[in-house]
Amino acid sequence: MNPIYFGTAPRSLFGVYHPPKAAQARATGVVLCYPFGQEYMRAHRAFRQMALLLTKAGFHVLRFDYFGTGDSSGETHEVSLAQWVADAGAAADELKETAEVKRIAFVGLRLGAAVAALAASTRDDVDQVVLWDPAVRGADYLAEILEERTDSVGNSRSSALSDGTAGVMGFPVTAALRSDLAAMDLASIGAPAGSGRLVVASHDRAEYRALGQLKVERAQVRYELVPSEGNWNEVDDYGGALIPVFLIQAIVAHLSQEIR
Amino acid sequence: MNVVQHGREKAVRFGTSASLVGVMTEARAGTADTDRPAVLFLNSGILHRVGSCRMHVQLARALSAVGFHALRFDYSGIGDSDQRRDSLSFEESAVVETREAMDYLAKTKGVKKFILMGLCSGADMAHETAVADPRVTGLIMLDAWAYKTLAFQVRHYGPKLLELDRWKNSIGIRWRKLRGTYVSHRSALPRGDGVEYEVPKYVRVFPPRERVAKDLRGFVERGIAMHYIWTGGLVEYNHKGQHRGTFSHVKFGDLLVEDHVRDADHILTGLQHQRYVLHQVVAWATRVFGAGTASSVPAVDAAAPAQPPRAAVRTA
Repeated sequence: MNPIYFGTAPRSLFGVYHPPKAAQARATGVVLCYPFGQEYMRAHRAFRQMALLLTKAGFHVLRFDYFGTGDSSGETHEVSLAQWVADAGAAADELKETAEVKRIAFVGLRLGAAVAALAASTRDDVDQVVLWDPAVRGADYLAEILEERTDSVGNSRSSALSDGTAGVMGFPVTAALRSDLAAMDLASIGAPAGSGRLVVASHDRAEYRALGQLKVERAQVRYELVPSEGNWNEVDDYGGALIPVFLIQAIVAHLSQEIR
Repeated sequence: MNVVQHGREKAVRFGTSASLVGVMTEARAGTADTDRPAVLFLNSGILHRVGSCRMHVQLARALSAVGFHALRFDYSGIGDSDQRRDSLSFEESAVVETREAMDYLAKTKGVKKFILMGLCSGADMAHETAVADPRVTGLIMLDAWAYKTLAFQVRHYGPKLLELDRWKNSIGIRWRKLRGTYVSHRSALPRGDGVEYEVPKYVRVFPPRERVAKDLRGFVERGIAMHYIWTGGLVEYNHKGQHRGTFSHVKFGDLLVEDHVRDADHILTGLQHQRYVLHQVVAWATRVFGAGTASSVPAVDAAAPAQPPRAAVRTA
């Protein structure tokens, strides 16, 4: 495992590169796209576990923080969906250069699924895109994350600044980002020619099923439900991490089977 | 909103018994001084090094802008750091690893003194490391151990004695417990096959106050500057001055700054609370350790209120 900064200042991004641990390395590398906000905090451990399992299956893996998030450059009030999609593309290019892989697979969780699908849609080197509990319609996702919450003693976990920035469980979401997200619809995003798309869900939700049954031109789409308890869109006082083991194993099995 | 002009950031690895991962934010170009302490950010629970609501990143960059080197890193088994191969408890290994982080900064940056910053379990480990290592010269503590005093009890129970609903609720719970029909909401943690819900192995137990008093006297004798902030999320603390009141025999003088952000939750989700804490910490560090002026951090100063925010604003 190798923590790195890549890209160019002042927009350099933090990532962790995991080399394969199997005797035979695969020629496709996997880029992991995190969710946003508290969901990112809650999923960090699961992504590390998934990266380790992928390396045991022979994959080169890069997980990275988008601009304005995690350890990457920038502040959260500077971000945009287009920037994050560009970041995912830059991560794919970095992985190809670092690991000398020819092809890419993206795995994205929640908003990261939308970022992954958008980044993949403009490339011609993508084998697989895995959309895990995806944020399907940006407007629905926004409504969900902007819902009022309080902590165990009744203190509000929502806030707002005078410039219109909303605090979503401690993470700023500017009016510009809300506008980006409101216009996003995963169902309208195409897939690279000859690629595969897996929609994998921890809960049986109509939007996941519909996306998983959607016919996408030139791509094979599959839907898999791996029932798992827990909700990404929650937060507690001690940073509890959600690690849906069977679901992570299903993603690794899918990529191992579909990619040489 | 302005962007803080901070120093270069780079990923680092250090440690002897485990490979620890961190991010160093160097003091902004032209502001570094090896006589000035560097700031170390310690994990809260199992949140990785960016800190709750990315506060460690925000603080590291704001402190870098006024001349401090800052290092946020993951303890073994947390975030991106490896597991240790020995059998040390978390309380033991956290102190060892914080000292290794200090050794790393001493070696790479020539820094001789350190400020430790932590929230909750991070504050606990900052305290323990300060006891163990003479290089600690400052502490920034969020929701550190707190002890109930008479003044606490008066504030806590006084208003409740006048609320009829509380009496009814309390009698109702006791009655349901007697009948065996009481269900605690705490039994609702997610469970299920194949899903792991990972929580910190560290169980927070406040040490006896006599022991803490002895430690604090030692801190004062060593001249350690202390900035302690409590949120409304720690039920053991309910008014500014409680810490001084608890340890009234410790002659803190100007070494202690005590603050209470009553409307903030434990993990500082309120953006206005984050700004307040950011502003207070940078202003304190600048004043105490003689760094650049806080006005060189416009994004922090411009919007920060002079007093703790009184109420969270609901999202529109």
